[in-house]
Amino acid sequence: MLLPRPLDWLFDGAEAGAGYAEAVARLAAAAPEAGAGQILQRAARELGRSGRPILRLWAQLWSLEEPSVGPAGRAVGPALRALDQLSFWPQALLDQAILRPALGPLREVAEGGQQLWLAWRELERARRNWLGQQARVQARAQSLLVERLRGRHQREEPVADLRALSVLWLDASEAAHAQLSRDDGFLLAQGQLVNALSAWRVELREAGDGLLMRLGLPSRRELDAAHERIHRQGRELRQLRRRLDQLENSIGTPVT
Amino acid sequence: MSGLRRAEGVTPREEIWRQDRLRLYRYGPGSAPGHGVPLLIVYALVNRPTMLDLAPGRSFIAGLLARGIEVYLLDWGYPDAADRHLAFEDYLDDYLDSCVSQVSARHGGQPIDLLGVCQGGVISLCYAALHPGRLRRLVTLVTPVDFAAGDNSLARLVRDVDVDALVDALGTVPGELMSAGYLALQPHQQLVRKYLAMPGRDADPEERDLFLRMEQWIYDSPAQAGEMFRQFARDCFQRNLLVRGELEIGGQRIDLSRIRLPVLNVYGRRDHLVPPPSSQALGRLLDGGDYTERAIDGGHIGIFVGRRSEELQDCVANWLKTGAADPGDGSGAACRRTAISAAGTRGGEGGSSAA
Repeated sequence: MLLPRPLDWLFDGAEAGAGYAEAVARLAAAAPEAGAGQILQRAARELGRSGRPILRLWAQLWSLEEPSVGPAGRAVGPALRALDQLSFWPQALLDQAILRPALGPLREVAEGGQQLWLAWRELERARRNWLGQQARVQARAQSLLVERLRGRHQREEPVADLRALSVLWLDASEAAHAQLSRDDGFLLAQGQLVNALSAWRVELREAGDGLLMRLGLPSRRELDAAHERIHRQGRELRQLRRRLDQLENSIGTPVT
Repeated sequence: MSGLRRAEGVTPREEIWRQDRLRLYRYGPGSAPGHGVPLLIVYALVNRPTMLDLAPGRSFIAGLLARGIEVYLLDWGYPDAADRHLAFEDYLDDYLDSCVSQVSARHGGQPIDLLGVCQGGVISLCYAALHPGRLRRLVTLVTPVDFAAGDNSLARLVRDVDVDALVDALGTVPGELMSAGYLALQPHQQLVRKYLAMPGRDADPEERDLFLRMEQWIYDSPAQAGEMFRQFARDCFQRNLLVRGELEIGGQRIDLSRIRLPVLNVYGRRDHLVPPPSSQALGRLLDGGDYTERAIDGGHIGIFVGRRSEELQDCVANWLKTGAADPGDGSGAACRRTAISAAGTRGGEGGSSAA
């Protein structure tokens, strides 16, 4: 069977491509807590030189390397890499440094910083859990893709071009997502990520509000309170108007 | 392709009233209000009503106008940070009630017809339960009633989310977050696959135009007023209070079984956002009125803008004019009528358009 050259690796006895895909699936499954950078590092070690070109493409996709990602990607890439490396930091040391008892005239500021740190730590934990779930989806997608490629190989239905391959991969990914996004672990991780983001945002806002108040500028909290007061008065006015209408209707003449 | 930078409708209309961010439009400007019963359309808060008037030949509103229906549209607008305290009762007892008064006043003060789409259907049902004397008939399209029935992907999405914490953190919930939520349901399809299949430069211009209009509509997501979002997400999606008759709005309990006016309930057979059983639950609750249910072959959006969108227009217009929801070709295909006699027994199920 004559196959397009660029895709030979996928069909060479269904071994080379399948081998690669299965290796990635194994890695993803083995490192559910890991970030993208860690998965790539382990993949590089396991796959060796032959897998490097593909790993480089994956790294670009995840904005973990600079080439061909444009100015935005170049700006985001290092930040993502730093985020990913954070798990390697000795957290106990950071806890010790940041969470020591706050004293003195800047006690409130220090306590605000501690709350921010705790919220960040929780967000980081939730992010890793969620990435673990995404890794499960990717691993399942890889298995489905390999399964489908093997099926096509057996039926002698070659993948005609890269677009067709992309569609196969996307369909496998969507099917995997549809399956796994229903289970409790996925839903819980998703909910915990949103909740951690909410808590982090509250702490950020508190920090910002403190600064604004010191500068004599209206804080978010003050604006919210003002909006609530306006809203409550609007509602009371509406009820009064309704009551007035009822009175008018009951006596048959406008009430002035 | 001009005029596509902002998502706008295609049918001429005039603004007849406004309050805060809300706008009330009448379609077919210039003509005097007709003698028929006017129809007020209430769309969901989570997207823009542009979808009902998306493109020439794919406009639900234009289709109703062409079939002789007098159409008004309530446009909720774009809430901002100042609107975080707007609650369900404000939308119901203030905004919607004011619009019903405005439309009714232009037509001699008579009860009007109300049509709600998706979340707008829920709002319309609640309004009909609280203010039955102000309406003549009610149409609900792709409307969730039982949020735990079927494979409800949106209910799953918010299952473990602390909605109170989210609203407390964000105030007004950004439209981008709403869009991200929808994308998370089918990420590969919505973020990549769709663009692989998009019409190319040499495609049919109408097809290309429709794709671009749809694309604009999808990402034209208004922010959500915090208190309204809190109550809808928590009480409907998480606690499923509407179907249990335990939803409270402004201290008043919403009992859908109190609705006595004629109701047409239409859902899409392949709706992945509001699964059919979620809509069908309405039929079990309305135990004392004239209830007609109709399934249309399509998805949540497809039944409005898909190739067979005229089926929905025929169905709604025929029901409003004659009380029958058949496609208008006399076949009565896919039409299910549940007529409820005075004794409360159901009859006439399956294929018949006769009451």
